[in-house]
Order: sequence, then C-alpha cells, then structure tokens
Amino acid sequence: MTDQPKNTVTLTIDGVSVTVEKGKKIYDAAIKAGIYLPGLCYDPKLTRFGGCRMCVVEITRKGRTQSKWACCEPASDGVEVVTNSPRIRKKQQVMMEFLLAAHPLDCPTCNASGSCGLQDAAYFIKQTRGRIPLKRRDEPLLIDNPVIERDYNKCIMCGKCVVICDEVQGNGAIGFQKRGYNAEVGTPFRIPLVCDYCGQCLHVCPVGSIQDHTERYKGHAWEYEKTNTICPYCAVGCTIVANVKRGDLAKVTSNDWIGVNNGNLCARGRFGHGFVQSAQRLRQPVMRRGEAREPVEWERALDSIAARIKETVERHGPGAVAAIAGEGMPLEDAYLLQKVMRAGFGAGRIETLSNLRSPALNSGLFDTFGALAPVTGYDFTRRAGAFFFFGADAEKENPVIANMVRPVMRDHDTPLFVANARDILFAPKERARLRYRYGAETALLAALTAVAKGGAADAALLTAADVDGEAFARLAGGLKAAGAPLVFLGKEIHDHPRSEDIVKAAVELAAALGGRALLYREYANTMGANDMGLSSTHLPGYLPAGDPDAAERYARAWGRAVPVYAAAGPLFGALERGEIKTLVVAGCDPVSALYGAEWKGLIQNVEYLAATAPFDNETTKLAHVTLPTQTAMERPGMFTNNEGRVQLLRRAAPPQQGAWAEWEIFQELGRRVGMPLYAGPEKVAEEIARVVPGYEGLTHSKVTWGGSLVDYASRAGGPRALAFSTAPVAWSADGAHPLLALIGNSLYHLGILSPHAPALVEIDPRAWVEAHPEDAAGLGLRDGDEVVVESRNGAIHAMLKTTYRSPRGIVYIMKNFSGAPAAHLPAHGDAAARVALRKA
Amino acid sequence: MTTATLTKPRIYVGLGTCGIASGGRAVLAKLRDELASQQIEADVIETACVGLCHAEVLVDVHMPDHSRVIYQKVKPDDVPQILTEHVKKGAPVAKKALAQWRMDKPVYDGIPAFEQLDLNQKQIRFILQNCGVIDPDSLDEYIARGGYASLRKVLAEEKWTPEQVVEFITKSKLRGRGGGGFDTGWKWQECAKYKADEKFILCNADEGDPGAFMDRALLEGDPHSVIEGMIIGGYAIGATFAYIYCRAEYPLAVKRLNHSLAELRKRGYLGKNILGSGYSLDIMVKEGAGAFVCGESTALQYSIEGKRGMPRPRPPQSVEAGLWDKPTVLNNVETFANVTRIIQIGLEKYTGYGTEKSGGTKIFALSGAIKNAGLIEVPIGMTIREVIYDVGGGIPKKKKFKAVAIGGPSGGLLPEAKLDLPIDFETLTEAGAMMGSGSLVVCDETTCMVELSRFFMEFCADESCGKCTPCLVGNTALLEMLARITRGEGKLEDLVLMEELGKQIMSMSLCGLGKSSPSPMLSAMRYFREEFESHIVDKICPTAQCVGLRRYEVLPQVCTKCGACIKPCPTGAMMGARKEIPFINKDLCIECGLCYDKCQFNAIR
Repeated sequence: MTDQPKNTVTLTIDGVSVTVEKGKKIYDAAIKAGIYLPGLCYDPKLTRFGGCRMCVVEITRKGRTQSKWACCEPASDGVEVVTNSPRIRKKQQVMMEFLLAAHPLDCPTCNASGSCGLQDAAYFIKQTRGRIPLKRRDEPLLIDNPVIERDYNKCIMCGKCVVICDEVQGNGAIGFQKRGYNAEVGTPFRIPLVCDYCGQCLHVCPVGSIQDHTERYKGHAWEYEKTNTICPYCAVGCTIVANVKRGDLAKVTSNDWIGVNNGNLCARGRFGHGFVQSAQRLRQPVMRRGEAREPVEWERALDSIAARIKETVERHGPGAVAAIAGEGMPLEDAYLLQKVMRAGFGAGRIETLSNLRSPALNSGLFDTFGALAPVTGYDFTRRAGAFFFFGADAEKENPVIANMVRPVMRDHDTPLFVANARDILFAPKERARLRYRYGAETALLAALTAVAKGGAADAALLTAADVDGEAFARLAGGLKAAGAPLVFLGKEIHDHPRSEDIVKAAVELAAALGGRALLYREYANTMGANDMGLSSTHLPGYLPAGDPDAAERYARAWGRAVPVYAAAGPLFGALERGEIKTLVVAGCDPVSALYGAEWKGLIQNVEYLAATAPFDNETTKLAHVTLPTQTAMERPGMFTNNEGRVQLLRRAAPPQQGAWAEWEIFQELGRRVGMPLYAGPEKVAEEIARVVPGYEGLTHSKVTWGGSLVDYASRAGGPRALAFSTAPVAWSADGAHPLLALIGNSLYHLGILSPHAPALVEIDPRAWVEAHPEDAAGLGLRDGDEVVVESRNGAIHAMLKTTYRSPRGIVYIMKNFSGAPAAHLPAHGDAAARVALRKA
Repeated sequence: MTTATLTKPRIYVGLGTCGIASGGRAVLAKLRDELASQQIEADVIETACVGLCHAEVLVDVHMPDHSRVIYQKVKPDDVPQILTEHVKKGAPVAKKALAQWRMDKPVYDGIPAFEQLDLNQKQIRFILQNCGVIDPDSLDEYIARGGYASLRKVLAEEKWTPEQVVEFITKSKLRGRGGGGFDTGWKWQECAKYKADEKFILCNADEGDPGAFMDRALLEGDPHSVIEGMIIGGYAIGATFAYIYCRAEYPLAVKRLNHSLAELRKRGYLGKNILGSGYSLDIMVKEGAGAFVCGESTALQYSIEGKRGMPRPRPPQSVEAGLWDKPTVLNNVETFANVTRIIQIGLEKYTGYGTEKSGGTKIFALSGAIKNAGLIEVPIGMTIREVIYDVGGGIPKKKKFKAVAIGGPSGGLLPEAKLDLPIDFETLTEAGAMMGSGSLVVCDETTCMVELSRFFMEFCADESCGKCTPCLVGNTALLEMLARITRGEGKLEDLVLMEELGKQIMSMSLCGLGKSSPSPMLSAMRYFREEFESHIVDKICPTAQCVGLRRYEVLPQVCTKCGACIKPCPTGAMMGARKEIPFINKDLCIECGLCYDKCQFNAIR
C-alpha cells in the first residue's frame, strides 16, 4: 500500500478491500464495494442526516470493535468493517420493528410499492412479524397542490426531502414540525405547499410518503418499462427516466447515477410530460382550402410542399425560400433539414429563433469568440473559484444549474455573486449582490474587468450603470479575491438587444480572472442546431456558407451541389420586402416566440407557409400545410446541450398515431428531389459523425450514458479580439408608457410543449406580470388584480403579482402563455418595451 | 460596598423564582410600605435563592455591626414585627429566625449560626457562596466578594497564556457539570488546537430536566460568576464570540444576565480589549424556545443558528466544527462557575474536595419527598444517604424512603440498597443512573415506580425531536407498554421485550436524549421488578397511584372509625356513620382517591 495516493484511504468491508477518496463515508465505500446497506436516510449528494440508524456496522480499528453508523463514520485507513454479523442484524431488526410499528403496512395499494426503500430493507434483513403494538397515525392524504401529494402516515422521518429542499433546491419549503411521535415533515401549520414544485422531495422519499400526484394508481414500479432519455425542455440537458406501462407514459423519474443532472429535475422535467399523450396532439396533416383547414393524406401534403419549394426556387430563385427551425428538434432532424434545403432545393436561407435574434452568439459564435466562446463544461462548477450570476435568475430559468451550484457552494464554500437588473433571489445567500440599470450591462462589466485587472473602475461607467458604489466594491473585490469565476449569463442577457456586446464584456471579465463564461441557451438543442448549420451564414460545423471550399466539402460528402450562399441580409428585411415566397417553419412557433408584433403580419403574408408541429400553435394556424410531428420523447435522436454535450434520446414512449419524426418528413421531401433515404436516425447520426467537424465518432452507439462533449476546440481556433461599446442603451419613457417591461420565462413553461402539459398548466395556468408593490399601489392596483399591459405595439391581459423582485419602474412579464403574447409588446429588434399597466 | 461600610440597616428579600413563587413579591411590597410608615431608613436588596427553597420567603436583616439574621417562611403579616423589634429595637424575632451568619460581628443569642444548621454541616459552599447573599444585579458587590479576581489574574495581573489556563483547568480535574461529565480541560485543549477565523464559546443554560434548578439559581443569584468563567474559557480557546443559551422559561435569569452583561461592557470587562489585555469577547444571551432536546450540544447550536433544534451525528465534534461550522466549546452554567472559583481559590484547595477522577463540589437540587427541599452543594463522592438524610433532613411525615431519581428523565431510580453509593460520575452510571445535571427527586413509599417510569418516559417521548427512529418510535412504544401496565393490561412477556427494546434504544439513538431515555424505566425494572409484576399479575398497584388499577377498600384492622373519609367522597360511595367502619360501594366509586388522601391512618388502600 506504499504507492497509494495520499488523498485516498483503503479499508475492508466484509472482507472486500475498497479504496475511496479521503472524506468519504463508510457508506460510500460500501456502495463502491457493491455491498448493500439497508440505510434509509443516506444519500451521497446530501449532508448526512443519521436518523434512521439502519446502517449500523461493526468497525474494528486497532483491535477495538465498536458499533458505528456507516453514513456518519468517515472511511479511514485499515479499518475492518462488518455489515452482517448477528449482532448487527439484531439491532437492525429492532429498528425495523420500530419503523414497521409506526408505518402502515398497506403495500398493495401504495404507489411506492416495489420502489420502496423500507420494503427492500425489511426484506434484506429478513424481518419477521413485529412485537410492538403501537397506534399508527391515521391522517388523510394531503393534496394541496397539483403535483405533490403527501401521506403523513407513511413518513419514516428520514429527512431526505427536507435536506434536499434546503441544500439542493434552495427552497426550504418543508421542514420538521411538531415533536415526539407527532413529529412530521411539512409546512408550518400545514399551510398549503408553495414551492418550485420540482418534486425533488418525492424523488428522494424512500417510502410512499411523498408521491407524484399525477401518477396515482397508474402503475407499480415493476410494471413500468423505464427508459433513460433527455428532457425536451431547456438547454441544460437533464437525463429523465420515462416510466411507461403498456404504452402509457405514467411518470417521469430521474436517475442519480447518469447524465449531467445528478438526479435533479425541475417541475418542467418531472411533471411536464403530459404533452406526449395529450388529446390535442395533431394526428394527421392538414391543408388549408380557403378559410377551412382539412385533413389530408401524408403523401399529398408532402408532395404539395416539395412541389411548392421547387417551384418557388425555379421561379424566384433560391432566395425566395426560407426555413425557420425550432431548437427542440434533435440533431438528426436539424441536419437533414438544412441538407435537404441546401442540397435538395438549393435554398440556403435557414434560421432558428435564436439565430434570428443574435447570429453572433449562435451560428457565428466561434467567429465572434474563438476559443473564448461562452460554452463551458459543467465540470468547471467544481473547479470554479466563484460563481457570478449575471443577468441570470438561475433559480427560475435553469433550476438544475442552480442545483449543480448549491452543493458546490456547500462543500467548497465557493462564493456566489449576483448582478441583475431585477432583485432576483438565490438561496443560499450570495456573498455580494448588485442591481444595475437595464441597458448598462457592458458599462458595469467593463468596470468589473478594470478592477479585476488591478485597476480602478471608471466612475463614469458606474454612474452609467447606476450601481451602489459600496456594493460594487464588495462585488468587484470579492470576485477578484476569489478568482476563476464561472460567469453564468442568463436569459436577461440572452434576449438583450445588446446581448453580443454584453457577452463579449462578460467573457473578457471571466478571462481576466482566469474563469469561464457560460451562456444561457433557451431550448434543448439550441447548441446542436447551431452546430448542424441551421443558419444562412454557416454550414454544419460552423463552416462559412459563403466559402466555396466549404460548399465544395459538403458537395463531395453529400454527392450533390451545395450552393455558395452569400447572405442577403436579415430574414426580417427579406420578409418585409416580400422576397420570401415560401416559408417552412419546423417545430416552432415564431409568431408567438419572436420579439416584435410585426412578425405575425410578415409570416401571414408569405405566399406559401408550411409548418411542422406536434400541436396547433399561432404559426400553424396561418399555415397552408401543417404536418404533425413526434416529440422528442417518442423517438431516438441526439441533443447537444449548452455545455456542448451530445446526449442520446431514446424512444421513451410509443409515438402517437399519425405523427412523424421530423427527420422522416425532411427525408421524404428530399426523396422528392432525388435524395437518398435513411434507415433510421442512427444512420443520419452516422453521417453527421462522418462529415460534421467536431462530431467525429459521435454515433448513437458511441454516445452512451453521460454523453460526449463536442470537440469545438478544433473549430474555434485562438481567442478573438473582443470589441464592445460601453455606452448604455436607454428606453425613453413616454408619459403614456412609464414602465420598462422585461420579458422572461415562467419556471413552469418553455417552448411549444409546456402549454400542453396539464400538470404545468395547473400549477401556472395563466400569464402574469410582476411589479413593485409601490408601483402597483401608485396605479391603484393590488396583488392578484387582472391587468392590461400595454405598449405602443400591443396589449396583453395578465394577472398582477406584486413583488420586491421587481425594482421600481420595471415590470417583468411571462411569455409562453397562449392568448397573451408578451413577445409582441416590444418592437422588432428589441426585447424590452415601455409599457403601461391598467386594471382590466 | 462591603459590610464594613454598612451604615444603615440592610434588608434582603429572597426573590429568586422560588421566593417569588412563595409570595416574595407581596412580602417586598409590605416591607417597603412598612419602612415608609415606620419611617425606617434601610436599604432593601432583592437577592436570589440561597438554596433553602423549603423555607422561602427568606428575609435577611443585616444591622450595621451585627451579624446577619435569616428569617424563614416570612409572610407579609410578619414584616411589621420584624421591623419593629429587630430593626428598631435591635432584638431579633427569634421565633421566625432560621439562622444568623456573617459571624464576624457581635452574635445574637438564641439563634443558631448558619453553618451550624444540620443541613449545612456537610455542605461546602464554593459555587453557591454568593447566591442569596449578594444583590445579583450589583457588579460592585460581586467584585467586593472577590469577583473578577480570577479574570484579572489571568488577563491582567499574571498574564497567563491560553495554554496555561487550559493546563490549570486540566489539573483541577474539573468535569462538565451538565451531566456527561466530560473532562473540561481536555475539551478546551482540543478546541484550542483548531485554527479558525471565528470560534465560539457557549454556555448551556437550557436546564430542562424536571426537578433541576441549579443553573437557574446560579444565573439568578450569581450571574457574574458564570460570565467570568466564560470569559476565561473564551480566552483559553481563543473564542471570538460567546452565547449563553438560556431557556426562555427563566425570564428572571435572562433579565439578570442581560443586565450584568450591559454593566460589564460599560466597565471594560467585556467587549474590545478586555482589561487592557488585547483579548476581545462579547457575550449574547440567546433564549431557547422550550425544547428539551436543545440542551443537547449540536441541537443547541442549530437553535442558536435559527434552525430547528435537532441533534446531528458526530463526527465532526463541536470542538472542530460546531456553531456555524466553527470550532466551538459548550459548557454548562455550573462548569463555568467552577472555572471562576478554581482560579480564585487555587488548585490545592479545590482538588482537596472530590474524588480522584473528579474534582470539586457539585450542586444538587433536592425535591420530592424530602424535608429540606432546595439547593445544596456537596463535595463529589459523598454518599446518597448523607445527601438525603444529613443534608436533606430525610423524608417528611414519617413515611419511608423508597427510591431516589437521580439525573431526571435520563437518570435512574435507585432503591434503599444503593443509598451508600458515593455520588460520582462512574459509580452512578454503573448503578444504572447518572449524575445528570444534578436533580435528586426523592420518592417515599406512596410513589409507584411504574407510574414514575411512565411519567419520565412520557416526558422523553414528548420531547423527542423526531429525528432518529429508536427515540421517535421506540420511546413511544415503551410509553405505550408502560401505560398498559399501569392500566392493568400488561403481560409478563412485555417486561422482557421492554428490557430488550430499552437497551437497543440506548445503544442505537443519535443523541443523549434517546441514549438515556429508557434509563429510569430500566433501573426501576431492575430494582423494583416485583412492583411491575404485581401490576401485571395481581392487577394491583401497591401504592394505589395508578388510576386504572385503583380498587379502594377499607382495612378494618387499621380503621379508627373517625369518619373523615366519608365527607369528601363526591359520589356518596363511602357509606357508613361515625363510629362505624365505613364501606365503599364499588358501583358508585370513581376511584378519585379523596378518601385515600384524607385517611391519616393508611386504613384505605
């Protein structure tokens, strides 16, 4: 044992020698050695609780044997651990006798049966009938919210739910109440549960005390077919586990052992799967005839689209055809879309919602930043000297990023710094926080960078950013002292009209301190869509579309001519000028999602609009042809998340009758112009792995659990010079519209799927707007009032929530609610708008 | 202001919680009225418990150049007489006087000296020396009686290093007075080893055991002795801040502590640069919220942090990562008072008392069936018999001793046979009890051991925080079984099971609460097994305390036919006339026990 690394210890458990990192507990070592301990309150990702007492073991150290608890006792060199002696079993049996004396033995009707830690433990220690007569609790099931139901009778007080809610979720929504035998886990005075509804508590509950209400009586653990796949919502890329019984997707659970999320999920991931089997799903292609929309056969619909694109290119040239693609589409579909458009039809104008907003941060990412691109592996969280959330409300935008950060803060004391235009909250508490004037982000970042480099902040910049001098000094000094920050740029920055400059400034700050930046991306495959060349300016792998060599490269690979496409200005202008005659919208709803009310009219005026979508939306309502598609839960494929990790989607639920995967649609369109067919998405992936730089070798069979990182380094080259303006932008108030509205995503909604997930709709049914209580009071409005938010461009109805998160003068509006298109409040090219609030 | 400077009469009224409960406030009010109407000039001082709780309300009269006389059981109506005869005429009211002390002055005839009282013969008043003697709110008076000499010695006069302090305390063999008996010097030494930007020293004043009131008396009667010890301890371990975690049920103690702390800050004994030594410390009083488990060190720390008071598993120990994950030392109120006194009187004198493993004296709170209920201080190692009979005065009303509950709900019930055991940490643990914080509840023959076990178990089961299985479910299970026995529904197998479960609960629980909660029950089963069996087999509670088992009958051989039992019966079940042996109609009897209480001849059982 002489060559053993210094930071490990080696011990023996039941005769098995096992080496673990120093600081790990004996329980961890037992897990590593493959030895089961019947512990009920231990979870490697949580601070040890030591409550159930079931993991008692005998430890022999220097000839002295003691009973210890494996979850609490640090593993140390040379100790011998026995987990199965008769004495130990006797102790465990008495503890189990206690637990079962208090726990109702209603396994046949318990949802947790089969996935119950108590069942497993009792069986393992060969528990016989108990001798303790005790009155069990008899309380009704507590259902006070749409998704999480609680049964106090079954609780064994292991405390995991309380600890995870506090340590990982930062909610602290539940705690221990009362004392003695009446002690229980819950809210004070049993007020209804108000939290993020992430369901982390039910994930860790070892018994059936906290359950997924949406799953009640749908099935037992052993009846489910379980499939690991990737969450279709945001860009974090969490692994979810679909539980399907006889074709019914009953629930989504999480997996602690694979993927980036360590078993954490947010409400969207855990409860937002209801869209798959929604009755509103489109199940047959629809064509418009006059005002009426009528169902048609697939062949006819596809023929119509293919013919129309071909005809448009022939009559008006390739510039008259455009495609707008969603970023919830897997890589294969994205790749085929651009391949068919380019090589099949010769049309090169392809966009995504993100690319339309900011090409420099999407398809142009590596042109802009090179090696400094704000794409950072999540493993940097463990190495970071500090976390700096800039314009990021991680708790509400990417809850699982927050879940990654909190344990690191707990274990390494990593400081957190927050700067935001609003007073967002984060738990645990940040080291320093700052509120700046929306529009002056670059000024603030430049000032921080100046301090980071050892200089002094320019007073003019601080004045421009309107920050508190003392708070600035704390934050700037703290960041500098901690060094190597992970600068997380949130949705506020992502959507910002000046986002390119802000990200440049942030990247410079991170680089000055030896840290990294990570940019929020909105959808599950935003990064992948960029990689696959869903862009007018870039081919797959970020090769410039205007470069003949690059076009030649793909022409050789694909065996067909690829147009050298010289960008003809933004799509918006082309639509305005009427140049676009045929528009293909794939898997998204640009009418609702794009900022600017103008888009709707422009899209409506296109001569021919074809759309693919799993559900009707504002865009499909205008379309001449609408094709029903499968969602990412129903088909294999791959997503690339915002750290550039390619992960495999598996068919988690049977596809809905009549819906096609988008790659099938695109290849059928391609077939109509003589392109080859693929045997399945894995074949498309093989082609991607062959031809797209950075994706070498990333086939379905290679990208297994945990995914693989895309090799951006080869494409990125060295760092680019980053020039940005520090001049603030201002939104001039006019008397009629005094408030500045920022637009965000609700924690419970994102993209085109969540409005069709019943659980999410029940939690968060309607559009709402946040305003400072005094602003509201000044307008004679109260919390909960129905209000109209009106800008020069339009008006929406919403419910008012007064909160100090919104500073004076700023309101915060949720998009993604049908009938309340918040994106239509700003003008095109903007993401914020001057608005007025009034009572509806 | 020492006694030498006394120029006018000084009158002390015992206004500890015990004094107040006995009507001290009314006595004080009457005293002030009388002083005004009789036009007597005198200082009136509110002092605290001197330990003679059975004799409250205590009023001390101290005339200039005379010894100080203690009057016991003073009622407001006695005040005029005491003032007129003693203060005005100089003749103490011997009938009401208990004793006199401060004997250096002329002595009154006919009043025993305080030290010669039976109950004081075997007591050593080290720690209690100021309680009930001084005005606890007066820093000057404390200093006049040698207070803060220890602190000055350590910080200013002799400039000890922290290591010296630790070494000194280690040599004193001082062991924690909170119950565990942990070596104080070793604890300090461990904590001093850890380097951290912040360290804490905490005082555990969450005295929750039923029947324990030592800490309260100290905090109410001599708060400075505790604070002084804390500052010294803080200096020894390098603490940056200190908390006194005091239960909110001790409002007077909290008030006096806060008053004392404020005064100390003003006078430079607390705060920045204490006594010019360069060492800085401030102390804050944190009030508990009524949870027994918060007396456990880690739960106490969580409570200070503002979280729910629940113990956490160790390691790490508090000395490494305690309050807010910083190195922390937690000591009991009495321990700190000991620290002060050890440095004041020196090692030799201190270790002259106590046993080989444990130095000094220990304060006990005597209550229950004992004559001299109150606070006593004796050297560690004295036998239980001496404490109960010599100091405590024995059992009142000619009843027989049955058991003594040492250490409250975590301790044990010891029978007559164990009375000659010396009171020290090891011996008591061996006997199935524990020193605990120092409560001694004496039970006479009318106390049912099953019921008493049930009572203690109910307390523990109610106070369980709910964190660990054995304490959460186990205590309730035992409680249920004990309750069954008291109802006459027990089975003999239960006893075997209870013993097994009790032992497992003690070995498997997370914190001291569960580790000791079955202790009273187990010791009762060990020493009074026949009583359990009689409940189970004969369905009889020998003391008739268990309501569920009461079947009253009149014993004709004993009955004196006085008829006293007939009148109190609320249901008319007790039938009979004067000069006849009464008869109990079982159909009407509700087992209320009024006849049993009334009978002076133990003729009803």
